[in-house]
Formats: sequence, structure tokens, C-alpha cells
Amino acid sequence: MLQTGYVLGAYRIETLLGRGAMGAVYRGVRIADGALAAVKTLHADLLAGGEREAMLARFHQEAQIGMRLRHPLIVRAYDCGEQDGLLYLTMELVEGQELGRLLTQQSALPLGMNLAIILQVLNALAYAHRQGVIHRDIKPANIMVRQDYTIALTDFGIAHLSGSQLTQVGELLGSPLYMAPEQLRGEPVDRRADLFSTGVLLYFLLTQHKPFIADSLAALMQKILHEEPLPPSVVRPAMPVAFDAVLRRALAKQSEQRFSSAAEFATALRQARTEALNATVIAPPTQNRRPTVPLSESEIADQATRVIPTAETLTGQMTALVQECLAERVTGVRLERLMEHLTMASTLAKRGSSRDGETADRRRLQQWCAGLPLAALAGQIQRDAPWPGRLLREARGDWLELVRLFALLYDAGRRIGATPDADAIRARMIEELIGAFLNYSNSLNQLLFSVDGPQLTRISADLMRLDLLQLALEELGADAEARHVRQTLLLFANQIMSRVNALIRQFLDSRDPLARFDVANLLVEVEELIALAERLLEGSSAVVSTGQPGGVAMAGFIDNARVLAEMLADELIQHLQQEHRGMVETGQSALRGGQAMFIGWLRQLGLLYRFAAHWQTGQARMEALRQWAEDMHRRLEEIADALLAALHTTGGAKSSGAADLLWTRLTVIAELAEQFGWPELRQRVLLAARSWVLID
Amino acid sequence: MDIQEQRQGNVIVLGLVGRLDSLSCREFEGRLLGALSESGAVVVDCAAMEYISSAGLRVLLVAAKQARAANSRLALAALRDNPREVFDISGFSAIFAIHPTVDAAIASFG
Repeated sequence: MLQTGYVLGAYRIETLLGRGAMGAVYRGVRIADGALAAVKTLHADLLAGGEREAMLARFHQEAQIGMRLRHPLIVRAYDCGEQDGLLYLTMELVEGQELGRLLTQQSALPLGMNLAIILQVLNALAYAHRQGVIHRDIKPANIMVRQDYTIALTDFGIAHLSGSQLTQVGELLGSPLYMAPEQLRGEPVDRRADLFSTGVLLYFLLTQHKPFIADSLAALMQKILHEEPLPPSVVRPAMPVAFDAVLRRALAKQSEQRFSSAAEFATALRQARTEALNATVIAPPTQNRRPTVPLSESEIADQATRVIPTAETLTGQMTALVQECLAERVTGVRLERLMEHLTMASTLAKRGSSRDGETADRRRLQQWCAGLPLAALAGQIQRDAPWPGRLLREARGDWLELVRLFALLYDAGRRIGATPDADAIRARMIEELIGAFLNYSNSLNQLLFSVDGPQLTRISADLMRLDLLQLALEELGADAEARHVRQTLLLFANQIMSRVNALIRQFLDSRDPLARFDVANLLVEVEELIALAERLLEGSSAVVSTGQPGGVAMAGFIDNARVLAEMLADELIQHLQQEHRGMVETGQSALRGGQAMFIGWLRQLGLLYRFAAHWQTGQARMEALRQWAEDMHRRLEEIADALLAALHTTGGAKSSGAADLLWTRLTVIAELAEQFGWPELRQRVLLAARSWVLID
Repeated sequence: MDIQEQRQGNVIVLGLVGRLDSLSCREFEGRLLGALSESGAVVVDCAAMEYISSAGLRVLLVAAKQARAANSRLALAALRDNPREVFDISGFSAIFAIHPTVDAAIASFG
């Protein structure tokens, strides 16, 4: 990571905007005139093997095309260079966020906004196409959306320049989900490939469903090449039918049947918009949800003049509500109604005692409070609590709501009048909750030092239960206690991580088979380990430092994650060899039996790599990380090659079960390669999938 | 993992297809929190959810916290046997109403 003030070419680095697998993007200032820019850096050192060439080519391409295109809806590139082992590219700074990210935050954008985004993309493409540039990678991640919802098209890293020798026919770049059939087949592409991808994007924006989706790359390609997606108005009945025809044309398999230009596509889309506006669409009525926060004093005063039911009616209704909650389930609706009633009750109790009637009301309400079943409620909370290790059967799923009900009634009792023993009951409940944390120290030691190795699944489940108990403390308003137990949870996580580190070290030092067994058990629990590590990192800054609580355990685990990932890769390779031997000896495929485990290991490997690469900091560790990245890349490549070889020994039967299983594995490898920023490896798998699908 | 979204009246139904683990949970977190702040009533349809890891459970915990603070409604429906067991051992079945069907979950919102 670059420090603020670092000078790269003509720019001074200000702040970090984002980090990817291979580099980062910073906000920079041009020293000469103070103009702002985005500075994208690439750690060329970190690129393993053939990935280096592929990545460098993309980077230069992006710079060249970005400098050549000048359009308000296309991100401009200013300059590119190399300094201190860093490649950098300076670009126009776009204040906004990726469409992809925007879509994960907002589940669906309004129709008008979706159309506006697509029309802008088409506008930008019309210009780029006129300049002889085919983008070839139109997808949400490559569209920046500014605050005012204007867009900026970016990442021309794999774009094609007419007449350029850089990209050759047969290459398979871009994201398969958005790729046109001819692009998948490796045929020469023209602007109509971009229009197809824009069609996929439009379909996704309108329906929140991707038109082509499948479990494996081979199956996905099959669909893009041969299958017609459902019309949007079928997927989403509220969608006007006018868009069906536009998308049918945009997503036509034959490029000649598509729109011939971005402008033509835009015209058809505008027309459909007009038709859709003319057709009346009746939207379902939206209910106004009334927030049910407790009322402030002044609001209560306002209510004092409102008509409030008599104390008798109120207490009758409240008793019924409490009974329903206890007998059936505490639901949000019941709690809301109870809160409204309790607010009215405290207003009634607060009214002056000038008249006899009102004093009687007050007395009646106080009697009601005195009769509240707080002890019974506390008993039920105790019985249903997710205590660590306790078996939960037929849970009602309303435990936290029960605690909330208790807190509500306790507060009402304090406001309206004395509820005998209420304080003692609440104090006992808090004590029991805290007790669970204190008692857990012992259980944790037993689970960590069990003869069968640390029982991580069990520990992880217990910590989750302690999280829930902590929520109950917050619900009861016991804030200091809740803070205290949060610290205890951190200590637990630290303790577990230290134990895990010790086990791995023990194995590395001794290479003892028994220690190997412990480590094998840890490997099964990688998900839990990473969840634990992230628990330690929660609330700490983005940089792991040994000065922080848990920092030493974390730093140790980052190193160990690398060792575990290497071991997993070895296991995977051995497993493949065994499968192969079994196949040769018995003539039977053993793939199905090992499939879940294989995929599991592959994913765990991915988790460990991403985790270690993400948290690795400091120049001294960079060299070690680079070597490791190289090593991981080689091993994953080896695994991919072995899988591809196995594919060809399945006898080429395209629809055989064995081939499907192998393609599922290869698809996971392609996903991992994409996440790690390894385009070359990903491309190799994609190309193999293409030949597989195309060869009849 | 794939997330399918539907609307039934004011309720957003998020259908989870596949594995909810630490590789996929960030995307789900964004969608779930987004849906909660948008509609205030969300059902997570787990009929096609094959697997949930602790990272996935933590997303549900974060969402449950947000739902409580904002007085929104969050319910789960159609949990398969394997994930159901994970819910039991992690104690999550104590704090989540798990309904047999999406319709039952929506009806529970009242």
C-alpha cells in the first residue's frame, strides 16, 4: 500500500479508494496544477508465470485506448508508466460507485433509472464503435455510476481496436455471463457483440435475473449458444411487454439479427419506453409502515389530551396480549400493539390526581403491574435460552422477542408503579447471562485440548450462541455488561487462534504423523478458522499489527494460512492421482464419491489464499508473498491440467455424468482464478469449456 | 450462489440458491440489508439453500440486528434438513422464526 504523499509520475498519492487482487486505486493530485485523478497501480512482481504478460498487455491496452477516447460517458486515461516496480495508470477520477456494487446495495432500481443507465451505455458505445473500439467486456463492474446517475464506462483492458494485432481471433476474454455467442465461439467480433452484452445487462436490470445461468461453465456456454431466455414480462409480470421484443432482438443468437448499431438499439428502447408509459400499469398499493419507537415526553404530553381507553379496558387488552405472547409466540405485531398500549397506560397513570376517577385508574394500572408474570417470563427465557452446548428442540424462534417483552414490561412497571421483585428478577437474569460467559472458559479449554484435536465446529457454534446471549444483554439495557462480554468473546477468539497456530507449528517442527492428523482436522474447518480470524479483526483497523489485541495470533495465522493452503493443494493433487489410478485399475470412475470433498478443498484453498493475500502487509513480507503466489498459481494450474486430462479420458461422452462432475470442478477453478486476478488461467479453462461445447 | 428476488405485495422474498459461505456471503449481505431497508418486510426462502457456514450465519445475525433496530420484519422459510441442523447447533433457531413455506412466513407478518 502506498503512503499518502508518495509521488508517482506527475501525481502525488492522497488516499486509497479501493483494493483489488493485484493492485490498488488511489486518489491522486497532479503536482503541477492540483488536478485530481484516479491512480491505478499494479504490482507486476506479484504476477505469477504467464499471468504477468497477460496482465501487462491489458494494462497497456487500457491506457492506450483510454487516452484515445474522449467522451463524457467514458472514463479518460491521462498517463501510464512504471516506477519502483509498480505499473501505474492515471485516469479521470469518477466520484461514484460501480453499477455492480450499487445493485448489491439496492435490490432493484426504478424502471426509469435502469433505462437511463442503458441509454447512456449505448451512447458511450456508439462513440467508441465510431472510433473503431469494441469494448468486449460490458458488465456491471465496468460501469461507474456518479451521484447524479450519469455513468462512466471504464476498463477497456480487453477492448479490441480495429486493425490491431494485439487481440487475436480465438481468444476468449471477458465475462462469460455477458458474452455474445460469436465471442464465445472465438469468432471475430464486431460492435454487435457489445450490443448483445448490453442486452444481457438490460435484461438483468429489468428482471434482477440473468438471462443465462447454469452450474458450470460448459452448461452456461451451452445455454448462451442455444437457449432462448424467458421474456422479461414472464420472469417479472409487472414488466411491460414492450421490452420483450427489444430484448429478443438484442439477445438474438445470430449477430445479423441483432440491432445493427448502438443508436438503433437506443431508438428501439426509447420507443418501448413510450409504449410502456402509455400502457397503464397498476402498481400494488404501498402501505405506510409506522415506526414504533417509544414516544418522547412531549409526544406523551400531546397524547394526554387524546382519548384513551379506560384503565380497565387497557389492562384487559394488555393482559390478553401478554398471554398470547407467552402461549403462542411473541411476534413483532403483538409487541408493537403492546408498546402502544403501554404508552397509553403511562400517560393515564401520569395524569394529575385531581379527580378521584383518575386516581382509581392509576391504582388499577399499578395493580396490573404488580400482577405481571415477570418471574414466569424470566423462567421461560431461562429455559429457551441458546446456552452453549444445550440441545435446542422445537425452538419457537422468538427468544430475543421474549427478552424484549420482558424489558418492555419491566420498564412499564418502573414508570407506572412498583412491580415487586422486578429489579431482583432482572438482576438474576443478567447474572445468568454473564455466568454463561464465565462458565464457558472451562468448556473452551476442554474443547480446545480434546484428544481428538480442537473441536472447532462445536466451539464456533458455541461462540455464535454467546453472540446471541450478548444481544439479550443489550436488549435488557445492560450495556456495560454487554461491552464486558464482548471483550471476553475477543479473548476466547484469541485463545482459539493461538491454539490453532501452536498445532500447525508443532506439525511443521516435528512432521509427526499424529500432529499431521490434528492439522488434517483443522483443514476441514477452514471456514470456521477464517470466521474466527475475522472475528478478531472486527473493530480493529484494516491493518494487522502485533500491537493490537489478538494481533500476534492474527499475524501467526496469516503465515499459517499459507502453509495450510499449500497442504491443501498437495492433497488435491494426490487425490486426483488416486482417482486416476482407481480409474485405470477398475475401469470405474470414482469421481462422484470424492466430488463434495474435492470441491470443498478447492474452496478452502481459495479462502486461505484470499485471506492471506488480503491481510499481508509490509515490504518484508512482499517477496515471500510473491513466491507463494507463484507457487499457488503453479499448483492450481497443475490441478486444472489434471482435470482437463481426466475429461478427455472420459471417452469424450459429452453428456456423461463424469464430465459434468469434472466441469463443476473446473468452474470452481475459473471462479478462483478470477477472484485472484489470474486472467491467463481463467482463460485456459474458458477456452477448454468452449472447445468442449463446440465439438460435436 | 444465486439470489432470486420476488415481491409479494410489500414483502420482498429473497430466494437463496446454492451455498451461503464466506465466498458468497458479502453479496448476500448487501442484498439482504438493502431489501430490509427498502421494504421493512423480508422473507429469506431457503428451499434451494444447500449449505450455510458460520460466515453465512453471521450475515443473518447482522440482518436480525438491523431488523430489530429498525422494527422491520425478517423471517426464514422452507429450511432443508442439513441447514436446519446448523441452525439448531448454533442456537439460531431460538431467534429466527422458521416457517414451512414462504406463504406461511408472509402470513406471520400480520
